[in-house]
Amino acid sequence: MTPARENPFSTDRVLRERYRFSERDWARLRDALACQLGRGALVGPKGSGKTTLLEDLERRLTREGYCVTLLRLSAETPRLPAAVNNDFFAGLTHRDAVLLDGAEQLSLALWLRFRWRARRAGVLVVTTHRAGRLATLHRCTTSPALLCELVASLGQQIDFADAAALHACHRGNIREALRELYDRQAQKNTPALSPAESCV
Amino acid sequence: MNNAELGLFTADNRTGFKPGETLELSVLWALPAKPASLEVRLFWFTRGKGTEDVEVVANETILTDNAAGESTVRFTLPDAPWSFSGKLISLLWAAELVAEPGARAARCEFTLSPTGAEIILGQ
Amino acid sequence: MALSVNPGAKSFGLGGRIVGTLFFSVFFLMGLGFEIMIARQTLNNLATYGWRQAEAVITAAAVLPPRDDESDPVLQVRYAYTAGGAALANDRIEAGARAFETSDAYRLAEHYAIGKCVPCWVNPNDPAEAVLQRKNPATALIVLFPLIFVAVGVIGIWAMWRTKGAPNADAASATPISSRVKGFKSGRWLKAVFFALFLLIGAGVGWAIFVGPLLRIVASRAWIAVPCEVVSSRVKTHSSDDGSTYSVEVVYRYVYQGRTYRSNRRQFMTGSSSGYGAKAEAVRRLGPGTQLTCYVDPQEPAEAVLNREPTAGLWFGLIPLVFVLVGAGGVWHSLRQKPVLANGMFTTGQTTFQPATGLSGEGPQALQPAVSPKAKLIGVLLVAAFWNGIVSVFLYNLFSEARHGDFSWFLALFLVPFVLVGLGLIGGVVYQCMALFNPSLRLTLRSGMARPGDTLDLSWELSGRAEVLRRLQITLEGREEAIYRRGTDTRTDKEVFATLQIVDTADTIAMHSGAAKLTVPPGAMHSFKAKNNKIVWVLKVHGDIPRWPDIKDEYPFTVAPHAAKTSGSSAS
Repeated sequence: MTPARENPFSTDRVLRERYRFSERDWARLRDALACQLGRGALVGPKGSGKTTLLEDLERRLTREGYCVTLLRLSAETPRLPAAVNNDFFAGLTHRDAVLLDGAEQLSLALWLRFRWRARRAGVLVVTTHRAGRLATLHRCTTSPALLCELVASLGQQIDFADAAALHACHRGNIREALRELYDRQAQKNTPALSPAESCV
Repeated sequence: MNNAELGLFTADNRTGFKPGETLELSVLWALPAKPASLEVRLFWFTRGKGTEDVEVVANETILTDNAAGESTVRFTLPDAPWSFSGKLISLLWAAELVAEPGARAARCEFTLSPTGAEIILGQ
Repeated sequence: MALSVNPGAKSFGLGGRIVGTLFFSVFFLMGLGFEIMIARQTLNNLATYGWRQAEAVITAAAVLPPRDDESDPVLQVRYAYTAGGAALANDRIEAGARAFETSDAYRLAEHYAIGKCVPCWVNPNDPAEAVLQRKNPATALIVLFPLIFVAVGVIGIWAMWRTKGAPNADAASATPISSRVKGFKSGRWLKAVFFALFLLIGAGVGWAIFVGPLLRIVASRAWIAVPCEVVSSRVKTHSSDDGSTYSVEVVYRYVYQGRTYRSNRRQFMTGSSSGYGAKAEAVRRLGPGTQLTCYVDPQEPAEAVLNREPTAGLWFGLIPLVFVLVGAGGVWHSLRQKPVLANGMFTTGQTTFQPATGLSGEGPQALQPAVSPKAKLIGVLLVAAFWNGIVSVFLYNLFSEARHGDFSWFLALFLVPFVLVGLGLIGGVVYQCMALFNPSLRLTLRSGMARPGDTLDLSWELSGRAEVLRRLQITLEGREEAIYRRGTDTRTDKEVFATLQIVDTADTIAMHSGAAKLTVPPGAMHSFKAKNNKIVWVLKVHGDIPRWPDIKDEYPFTVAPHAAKTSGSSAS
């Protein structure tokens, strides 16, 4: 058994992996955001990296001088926190960025209300599973090659066929694919291999 | 794992401790300027398949006017939780020296259990 | 939800704080204003409790008809009393009320009949001031209501100006691990207060609209049937922001033991509803002179009612029961929570470990299953009722239309999976009902707490239909439970790391009752519980019953760490 702390696919290691975006991709995304007057949605199915990309965007916007507020909604907690109240929205200016992870958790009425109240913010970016809430800024997609790349970043190896099978089995959900790799690694008696090898 | 500017070491470089024992830590710092705050925190954290849990059980502030210096901090270790590793969860103990501004940190991990060794679940 | 605030994020700014302060000041000032008004009125009302009691003689009493359709009859009373040697007269019934408009006017008029001696309360500082009735001191509780607004205002203003602590650091960055503490305060007292409000409101409203009327209905069984005659009848209008509702008011006259009384109580449940037509028709049928039978309280002849049966409206009074159940359940659950989740299972510095809920740690302890058979049945019953209730509406619609020759195949096919789920849930209810008749197992441990290496005496006893059991297995199981929260997903993984067979028998006598030794492995990990990660120990019971739901229960079991010295720190 590989102890949890040594498992290369443990949560803390996986969360350190950032969204695969080149500087050119970032420039393209910023341009799109500017064209859409600071409004946009990161769209993609579960486990496609929307939250990760949103967190990376948060860091970029902070470096650009925005005051960023990142809100997270989930199936367990689908409501905005009490701190996000009238006064919060009233204080928004063009130097504020509001990022909402899980916008589909809000009903249509609540979403419209939220969008209206956040109208003063310079940037409003949300993540959703389906397009529609805001103009699509970027569509997050996954592939077996991406899974290979992530596994390699975590210091492990996986052949392409296995990655493709995993990718298909989990319907493109990289998060679930990595969790299955965690379970596989946990069953092994040998410690995790450190050197990475490229996908075959 | 120690930052070049911050150092945190256990006495005799011990890594295994039992509940109730005294954890003695040597603290070293060499910073560009006098730190706004210098704190040593005793905490446990989890690793594994679940979302991380962290709990600080004790902390000690080091009062200093110097950008560089050394000190000794002692904690009496609590009776639990013990360090363990299973398939899904590992619980680790550590002490962390944190200097502000800049959130510079140096960490020293150790094991806390009745035997001083990590408990392996299923064994 | 995690409100993750970037280290460079705003803290509302000076302008925001001023706006926020002004906003919350409105709450504060309005609340304070109402509080002062209500407090003043309450003090006036309660001041009468410091007045001296005297005897008053009623010199005049009359009930004036309502001014309009929305008003109640007005009771006017004049009385004479003596105070400080002077003969005085007054017409005030309650503090602050001269004209006493009330639906109870006719009943009160009998209480204040001319010539009757009644107590009155006289202001010692101004004997000319007196009242016949003192307000219920419980009404003073209303002074608490505006405090909610005052509290909102104060808390809001404080929140505007307080300095924020260090924001949560992102898990993927290089910030110190110890700065990523998310804090797991149970806030159980706050939760308990919140649910207590539900309980109080539900209990108060439930008493007023269900329990109170029900008690009166029961008491009225002993009332005497007396002929009565309608004096007047009308449709009373109750106006509100949402529109008007209506009720029927009938004033009738009856004679009891040589005295004539008047009353306007039709039934014990009060209330109004929409639908003017039906009420107008009832008023038309109950015109002046109509002969009816009323029921009179022989102890208080002024109390009478036309209809002493429970009416359909009474059952609306069960709605507050939901608030009572939610409130009581919430209070119980909140206070049951251990406030000790700051450090796995116990707070820093604590030297003794708390045994599992319900166990004292000393002497024989009966273990309780994590979920009782009744709770399982209630759970599946509620889900089945809810699901099938909704599906049945659509099915009724479908068959109703089919009877008119308009069968919708699309709707029928659409409903198939929902009906199948509903049938499955009904099957689940049947299954759990059958499981209720299973033999009941009582597990007892010699001590409520165990530590690694401890050996405990475990005993069991079956009651009920023990003869149906073919095999009994009791195992001690230790497992990891890890919750992963990311994006909108939450996943829980479980991994069993220890399974120790304690009992595995098919012997009838041994299954009925027995004892065994339970040894916690010496190197085992103790029970542990944090927000996302747990180590759980349970006693699993499996009783094999052929052609019947098996006994499958889990009994939470706590493994405590060995005691050690308290934690502390010192720097040199």
